[in-house]
Amino acid sequence: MVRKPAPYLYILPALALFVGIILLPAAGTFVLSFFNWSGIGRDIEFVGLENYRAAFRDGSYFVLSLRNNIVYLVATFIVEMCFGLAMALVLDFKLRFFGVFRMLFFSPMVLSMMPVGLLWRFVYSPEIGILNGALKAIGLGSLARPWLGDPATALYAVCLTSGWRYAGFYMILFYAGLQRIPKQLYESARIDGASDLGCFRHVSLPLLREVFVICVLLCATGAFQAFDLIYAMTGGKPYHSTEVVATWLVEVAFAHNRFGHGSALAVMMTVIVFVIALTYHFYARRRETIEY
Amino acid sequence: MSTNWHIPPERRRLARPAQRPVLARNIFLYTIVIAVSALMFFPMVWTFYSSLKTNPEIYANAWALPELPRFDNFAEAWRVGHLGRYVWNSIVCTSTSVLAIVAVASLAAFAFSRLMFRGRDLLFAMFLLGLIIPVQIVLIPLYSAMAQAGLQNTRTSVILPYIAWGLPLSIYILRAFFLTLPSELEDAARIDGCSTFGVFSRILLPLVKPGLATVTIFSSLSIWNEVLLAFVFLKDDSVKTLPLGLYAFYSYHITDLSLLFAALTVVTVPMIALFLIFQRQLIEGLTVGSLKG
Amino acid sequence: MNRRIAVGASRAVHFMPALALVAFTACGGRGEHDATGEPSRIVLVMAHSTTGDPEKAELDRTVAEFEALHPDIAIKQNAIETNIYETIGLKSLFSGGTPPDVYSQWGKYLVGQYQEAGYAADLTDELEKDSWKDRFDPSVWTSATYKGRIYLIPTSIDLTSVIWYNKKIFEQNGLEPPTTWTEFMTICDTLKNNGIVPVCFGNRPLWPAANWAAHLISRVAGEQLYDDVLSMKPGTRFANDAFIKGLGMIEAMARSGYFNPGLNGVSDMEAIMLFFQGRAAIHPIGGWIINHAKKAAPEGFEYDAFKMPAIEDGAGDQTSILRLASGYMVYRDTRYFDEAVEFLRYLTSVDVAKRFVSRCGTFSSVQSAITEETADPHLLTLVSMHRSAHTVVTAPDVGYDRAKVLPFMDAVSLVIGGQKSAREALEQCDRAVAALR
Repeated sequence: MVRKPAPYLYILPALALFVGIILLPAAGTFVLSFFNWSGIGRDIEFVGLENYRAAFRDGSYFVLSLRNNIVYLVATFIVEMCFGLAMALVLDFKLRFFGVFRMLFFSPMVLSMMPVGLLWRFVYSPEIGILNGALKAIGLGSLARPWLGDPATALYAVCLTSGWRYAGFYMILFYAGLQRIPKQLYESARIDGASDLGCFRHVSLPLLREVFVICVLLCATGAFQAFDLIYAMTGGKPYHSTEVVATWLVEVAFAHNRFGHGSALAVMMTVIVFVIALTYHFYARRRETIEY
Repeated sequence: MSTNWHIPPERRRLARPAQRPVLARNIFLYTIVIAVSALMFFPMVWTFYSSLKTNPEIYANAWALPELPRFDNFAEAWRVGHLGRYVWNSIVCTSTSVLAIVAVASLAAFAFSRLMFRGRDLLFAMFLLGLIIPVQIVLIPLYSAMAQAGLQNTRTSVILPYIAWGLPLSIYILRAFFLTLPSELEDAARIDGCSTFGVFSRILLPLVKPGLATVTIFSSLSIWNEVLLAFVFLKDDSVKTLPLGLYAFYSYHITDLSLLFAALTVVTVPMIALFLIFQRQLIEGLTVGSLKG
Repeated sequence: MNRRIAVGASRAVHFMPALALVAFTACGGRGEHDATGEPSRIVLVMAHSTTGDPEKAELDRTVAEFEALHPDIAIKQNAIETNIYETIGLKSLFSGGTPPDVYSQWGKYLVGQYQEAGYAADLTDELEKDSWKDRFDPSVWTSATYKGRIYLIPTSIDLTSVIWYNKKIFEQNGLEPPTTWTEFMTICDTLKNNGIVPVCFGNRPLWPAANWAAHLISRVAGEQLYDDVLSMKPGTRFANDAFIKGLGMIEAMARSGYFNPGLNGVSDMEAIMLFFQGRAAIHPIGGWIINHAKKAAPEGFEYDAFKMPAIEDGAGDQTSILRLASGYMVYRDTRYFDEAVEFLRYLTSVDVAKRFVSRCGTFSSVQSAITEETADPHLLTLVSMHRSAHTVVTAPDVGYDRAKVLPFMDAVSLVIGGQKSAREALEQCDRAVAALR
């Protein structure tokens, strides 16, 4: 069979890079979480678990940011999955010019967060935004509100934008998954009298399981890393209603000069997400293979 | 047990039911497609036509079409933002990183999916960590390490982190693609006397072209638009990347929107081009799925 | 014992990743790297947050001139966008072991912080030479001094919360700039009844409203109490009567609907758009609006400023102005102290300062730089406002420890957004601050 050292050689470059650039600095962060440090100067003070305890006291928005993160995760998941899958299915019909449409569907992914945040801020803007403008134009002016200024709607507005932006990514994954399904299965389903919807439910959906598993995992981990877009759109405001863990820890570590506390938050967040991801990964693996 | 995935056109048409429902369905689909396309594409359209306006025009009405299109905004943005130099740096950083990611990740993904060795699952789980650890918090130890290694202010100092951070997702995706390939392929090749590396490079790798294309596109996009590491690690004009150039349009609390939009248009065009190119690879790779025997 | 653990740990933090990276340096492609090894030319590294035109162009020109006058000195600029500079950028330069020789900085609190960290060179004696000190507006030194020594060369005076108003709207509604708070409220009422947003803020970054509120509060509570509370002097609390009264005035304004809706989700760019489009009449923002208006305001847009109206029975100086100063500091352990100082002298020479005033609209702290010829009329308005103020109030967002001031800024945003009463908000602020102490 295969000689012992060979497999390790294959993963060596990846491992070396990963350990050197991510793991070791992360270990540094872990160590730092037990100290108080303002980020400058050499005044470092050991404080044990104090940084961890401080996350749950008044003035800390860690718990709120966790809650917001979970809402963000669920909301963006729904938007991204549904939208991404729908677009992939539509593309699968191979209408004319579908290559053009595929590019158009994917185009939000090409933009960096700056223009996306900028644009959507204008869309949601209370006085000069097109969302309120459109609502007023069709007589639903009473629904017009400061979407990003009202703590009740701000988070959902951001989730919608995030979902809009990343749907293209999931569309690609679903689309690739759909191409993997042998055409004969659709044929036999149609010969058995299945409609379009039937084909979708009984052929496409089950065979996309593998892709779903990936998508859920990516969505979940990505949701906790979410920073750029939220920072560009609301910066966690108003009143921390759109504060997620990543924005809060950056604020704490760099704007408040509490690097040790920020490190502790990062460690906690990493642990939480890691547990979730690991659980999900092993649960999904057990139900992985589909024979056909 | 062979699977023939390639169906000749004649047989495909036979599988379709009668004509009229198809027409209605197609109209319905086209409407949706056009609506969705508009929804997805309008930011780019907006960025583009906004870049043809002057600042007073934009500030007066953010949505109006330009009165007199000003194409010299692009040249102006190019000049003010030093975009020429930054474009080159971005190209170097992105292409180097992406090539490295594809190479390193495909090797690792192959090992994780097809080879058995001790600690395989554990090591793979460890790479998942890379999806979770936020860049921001590792920034200062990483920066200090780069400085001590003498790499400060070089393109290498960002390329290495880009590769490292691109690996987890790429390995995950490629591994998933490798897993969908039947093991019979490998057995057949080995019977013919192929080495492990041969199996990898000559048999399996070509079959995961869609996966490679996917990884290329996603990595390119995130690296091309990356701002934080670039800002902290790249200080010389000679090594700065394109996103940094955009900040030339932000002076203290004032944003020169017309030039900013012009620069954004310039920045996005290469990425669209890249996607268009790799779109084809995606299709081509997908039709090469046949197996003999 | 603690210190040794700390030092050891910090060394480990820096050492471990470097060890790992040594393996890659051999195969890494090197880009350009700075010429610090060259003995024949001194390279001065200057870090700052001026990335945009016209200031950047002017700075580049000044640097080039200086290099021409001093062929043995080269200046390498490291321009990092403001937000990133203030949060991560500058810090990582120091903690990463690549400290700049000269760096831009805000006055007051940060000067002290960087001095305590060991990054600030004492410039007091240098300023005494050749009457360098006399060039500057004498009131700036309070922002540049820490424990009696000067560490900052203040190049500009920053008025970050000036009450600008739309002249045409005022004329059309028969209004005059107010001198007292009651007059101000009447104006707001008139504007609101005529369908114009009286006062607009883009309070997403929190400081626009917080700075304005801070000034108002200092007028009500007196500058000493304001300073004591913001500096977290023991025994002080935010929820004291004077603060509650001051913030309560803003609460009243919010209740009367005098602010633009959803202002806590509005960015400063959108707020300025509202102002330029004539949808809002009054916009308290900093002096940079002068440049902004030149670039982006519609034809014939006329605006002017009025001072914070006098508060009846306010304990503070009713002529006071909210102000920050900013400038450059020199790294304490720089190898090129004399060269750095030489450059700063050049940067603050009258001719160079005049150019910054005329081309960039900078409110230079070099006194003779602002004249009728060099300065935009709006800048002259600001200068006279500054001169007529007997007291200077420091803005909370940069002038004090930001971590401790954030709860206050949160409180202001809650009140101005109509979410909480002044008393509730300030009490919540106290709880948060107590947890941080």
